[in-house]
Amino acid sequence: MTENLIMSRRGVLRLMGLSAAAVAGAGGLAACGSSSGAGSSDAGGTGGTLTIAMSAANIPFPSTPPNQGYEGYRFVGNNIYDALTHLDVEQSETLPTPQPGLAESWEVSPDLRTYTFTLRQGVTFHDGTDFNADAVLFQLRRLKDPDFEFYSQNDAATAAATVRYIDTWEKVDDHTVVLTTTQKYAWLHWDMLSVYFPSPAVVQQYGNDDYNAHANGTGPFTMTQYVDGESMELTRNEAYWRGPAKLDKIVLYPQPEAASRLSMLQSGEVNWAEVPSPDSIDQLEADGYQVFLGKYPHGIMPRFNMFREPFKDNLELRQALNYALDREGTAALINDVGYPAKQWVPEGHPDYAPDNPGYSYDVEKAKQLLSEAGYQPGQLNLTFGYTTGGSGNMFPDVMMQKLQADFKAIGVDVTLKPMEWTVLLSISLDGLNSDKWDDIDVLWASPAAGMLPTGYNATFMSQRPGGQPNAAGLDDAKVDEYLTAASEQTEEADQHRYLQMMMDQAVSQAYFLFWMHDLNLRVLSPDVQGYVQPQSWWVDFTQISASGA
Amino acid sequence: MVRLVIRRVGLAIPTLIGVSMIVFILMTVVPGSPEAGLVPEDATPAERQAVRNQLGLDDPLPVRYFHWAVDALQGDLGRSQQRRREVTDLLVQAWGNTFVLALVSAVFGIALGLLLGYIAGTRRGKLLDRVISVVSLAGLSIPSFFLAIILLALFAGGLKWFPSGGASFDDPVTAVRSLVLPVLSGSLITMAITARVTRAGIVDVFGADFVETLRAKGLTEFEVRRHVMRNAISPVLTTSGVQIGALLGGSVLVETIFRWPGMGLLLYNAISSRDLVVVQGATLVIALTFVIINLLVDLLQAGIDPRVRGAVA
Repeated sequence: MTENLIMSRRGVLRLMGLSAAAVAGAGGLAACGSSSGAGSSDAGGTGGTLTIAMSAANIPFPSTPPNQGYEGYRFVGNNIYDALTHLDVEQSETLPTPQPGLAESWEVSPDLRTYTFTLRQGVTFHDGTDFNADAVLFQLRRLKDPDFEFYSQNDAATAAATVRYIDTWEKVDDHTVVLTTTQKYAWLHWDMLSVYFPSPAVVQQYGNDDYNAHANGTGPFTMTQYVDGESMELTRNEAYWRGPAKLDKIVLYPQPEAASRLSMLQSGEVNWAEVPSPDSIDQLEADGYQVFLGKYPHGIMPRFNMFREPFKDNLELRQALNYALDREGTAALINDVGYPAKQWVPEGHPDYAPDNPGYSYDVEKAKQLLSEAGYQPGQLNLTFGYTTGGSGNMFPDVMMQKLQADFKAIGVDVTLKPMEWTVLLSISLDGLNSDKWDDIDVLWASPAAGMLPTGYNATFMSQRPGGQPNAAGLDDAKVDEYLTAASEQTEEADQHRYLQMMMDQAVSQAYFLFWMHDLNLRVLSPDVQGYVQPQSWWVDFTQISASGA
Repeated sequence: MVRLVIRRVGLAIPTLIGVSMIVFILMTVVPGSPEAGLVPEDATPAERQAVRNQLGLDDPLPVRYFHWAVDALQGDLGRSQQRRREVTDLLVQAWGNTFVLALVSAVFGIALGLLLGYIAGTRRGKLLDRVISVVSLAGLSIPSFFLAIILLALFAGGLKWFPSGGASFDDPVTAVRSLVLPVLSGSLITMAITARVTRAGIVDVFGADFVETLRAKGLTEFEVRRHVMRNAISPVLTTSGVQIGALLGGSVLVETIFRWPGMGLLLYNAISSRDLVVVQGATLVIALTFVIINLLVDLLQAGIDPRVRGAVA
């Protein structure tokens, strides 16, 4: 284990400033080189069993893609399956970018409309059948072709965002496939990170409806037990093409209650716990547990309802509320497992606008801007819709109470409107201009802010392909222009340049409440070795071992 | 007795229909769309509509209910797209787990409650009676989820005597260990109610004239108390029936905290994700469970107490 990964929260915060410059994506896009992968070469080894208490309410089902959000990808998807590309999450120094996966290389045409993937040879699924171009086309037809015998409407719906820009697919030979896109598009290799490939033979044998019980991919672990609602056991794939993982097994348990996850860890039932209560950190550290915190692109960035007053066409009000936020105070309340946000992406991110300082905590300035916005103290009462829980939402209740107090300090009242995560997702689809939700002035948002460039669309764009919902009514021609231009640049540096301009515009116009960045709290027992906390929601499990389990 | 059964079954049918209709309507008026968890956050209207069509969400409410009811009558409770499993499979698995937990909780809670209630009732006004009253009042007052968290921290996280959750029936020892904490948490209210009702019944019956008559006839104190218990047990049976029904419905909080994959956890997850077919199926099973338990309690009461038998005859 890298020693400097275990550090105090304040240490992490200090390091952030130093490491900011190191976080920059690099490398050409047009032709990515081959990689044989980083095999752990521990065949037959006994890396022990890693038992994990997830924060998900259930075991993610092992479909392609899985459910339960990023926990589904992190714990199930990336362990059972591979995709054409994969993130280099085995390191913590830089923002992970797509690397060769099942595709050992790819080339993109100059017009960014044709991607030619050269597939890795000698890869087999867990059932022993070969991975090849036919397997790629089989899965793409499952997701894109309603006339295909094995078309899966469920998987197609869940995977829609990742295959949306694929227009056609063609097999050139057993190890080469060509995909064309619906428009000039530079980020198909990012989309391909999440398109997993199941064994066609298994799908054909069991059909889509019974597939989950027999899930079969090419990943570092095979699914050896799956009890819906209870647990999943993953066993090392000795024939993994990157070399077998160190761990013998991974066992997953769902536990949405933080207190219960803590007890599971303390009792020794698991040696990995997702997001325990921040209050428990000091005791856990004192007891010798490994508490991991690390900067990564995820935060809480609530969205203003830009469809109507008071926020539409009122920059001063949006800025006033940003200045009113005591972000340091919020961080202290959650025991510094998050830190103040200056922009939508964290400082050091390649899309961070370098010359925009964001919003400090300045009550007097906030009051002045509130007045300039046309509101006197006591005149404004905002309804704030927020989720009470859900994976990746940090600690909404305590944070919202702090926000309510912060706004009260400048004379703005806030009516809290708690809601379930499913309701928040529904609002994202319906939009804040829907009759059902138009009473909401500000809406909680917990984006994977800048983890993937493809994620900006859902929040920033006003005019989107296919009429994707514009939930908060953000409508800025400059933002659209910059984001569209970024997706049409061949070179990564140019993409980031446009995204920085987009970010600068969004911060200057205060389109969001730039509030808190998450530090990805995770606790491991002392016997877990080799874990690297990447700047991502994904994790590389192949180098981990658990000696005591 | 046969008339009682016929009458109860006759009442059960409209009860089940009423419950399923109310739940169906409630699930359609609560905020949140069932397809929200099945499509990406930025799904296009067409992608969203495809899922709505698959789930039949745009049909008129009566039509949707009719289709569900017709299928349910044929034993088909539908397929959960959220879980990608048949609802019947989910219910069988969850109800089996809840049944084990409920049975052990009921036996433990009722037995302990009867014992405490008997002791308190037969020692009315004495120190032991007061102590038991305080204990049973605490049992009613302490929320089960709070007790569950305390037990977890103490006996799982701290002392490591018991696992922190999960339903494991691999061997008897493991099964007992996995049951201890959820049973303690879940049976507290049952124990407290049973103790209070038993105590009240015994105190009441001890004051009845026939007790003096029994003593005057020369019965031993043991025989007198046997008669007292038989007369005092009727309200205990009624409350026990309700408690068993509630336990078989699954405790959402206890099952969630202890990761017990039963009806409560299933229902909680289904409501949270707006998984309508699972909510409908689970509610139906829970309602049916209540109906059957109540019927069994009525029959048991009629068997024990001739007055009840006479009333229903």
